[in-house]
Amino acid sequence: MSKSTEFENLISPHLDALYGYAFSFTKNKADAEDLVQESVLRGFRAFDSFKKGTNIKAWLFTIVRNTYISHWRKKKAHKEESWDETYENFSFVESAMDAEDTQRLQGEATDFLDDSKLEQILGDELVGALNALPEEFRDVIFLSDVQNLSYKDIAQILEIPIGTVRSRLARARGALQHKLWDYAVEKGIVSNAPQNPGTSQTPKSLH
Amino acid sequence: MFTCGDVKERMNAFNDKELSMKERFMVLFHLVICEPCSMMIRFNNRIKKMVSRHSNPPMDPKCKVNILKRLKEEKEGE
Repeated sequence: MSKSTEFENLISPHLDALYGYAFSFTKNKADAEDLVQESVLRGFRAFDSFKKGTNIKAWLFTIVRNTYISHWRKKKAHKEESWDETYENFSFVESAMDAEDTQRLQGEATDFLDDSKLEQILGDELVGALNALPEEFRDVIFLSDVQNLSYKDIAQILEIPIGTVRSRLARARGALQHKLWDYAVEKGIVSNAPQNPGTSQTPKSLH
Repeated sequence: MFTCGDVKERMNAFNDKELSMKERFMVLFHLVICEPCSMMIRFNNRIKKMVSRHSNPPMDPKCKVNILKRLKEEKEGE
């Protein structure tokens, strides 16, 4: 099998995933397609450096990310919301349980959390909350939750230690839940703001 | 036995299937007796799945064709 056929066979099953990853950076289809195309060509030119038997998906993701950083990020002035460190460890469920009127809220929160309409209510808000995260946090969430990559693979793609993957995920998910909590309070889905967002390690309702 | 704090600390790794077998069982044992932690894990897992469903737009099939066509041109140019 020629080198070019081998490359094509290896990348073809991952094109959708590459596109999803590119889209998470560019936020629009045309740019995502261009980014994938550019990355695939770069991958082909660098195919000799790929070690057979290693994870091709992680290797391709690294190329997409590096292509974006070196050529695309300069062009895109992406506006991100300010980042509050206290969001780390924030939990929607804990906040619902820590709220002042615990007895009433627990009933509502339980209904809400188990409600099959959760996705319908929070789906669009979730995309907005995700897009508002700083890039480095959005990146780990995408690689973990959407691509189901292991912490080891994510660490390889982002060129960071596994411990940093863990802490970024915790902070990113905390921030995401904080945004959803704010939205739920605003819409009256839950009725009370948490006492100390993000600071509670073990809520009083837990033992 | 794991406490709620122990479980919260490992919640992400549990949902991401990154815990060792032993720790995974320790968390599971705690979840059997602790409804709030159980609810928290379920909620986090649902958010994870929602993120997955809402953040993975399909690629236009035409785009795939274009990429493979461009790749072919690159090969021929070598």
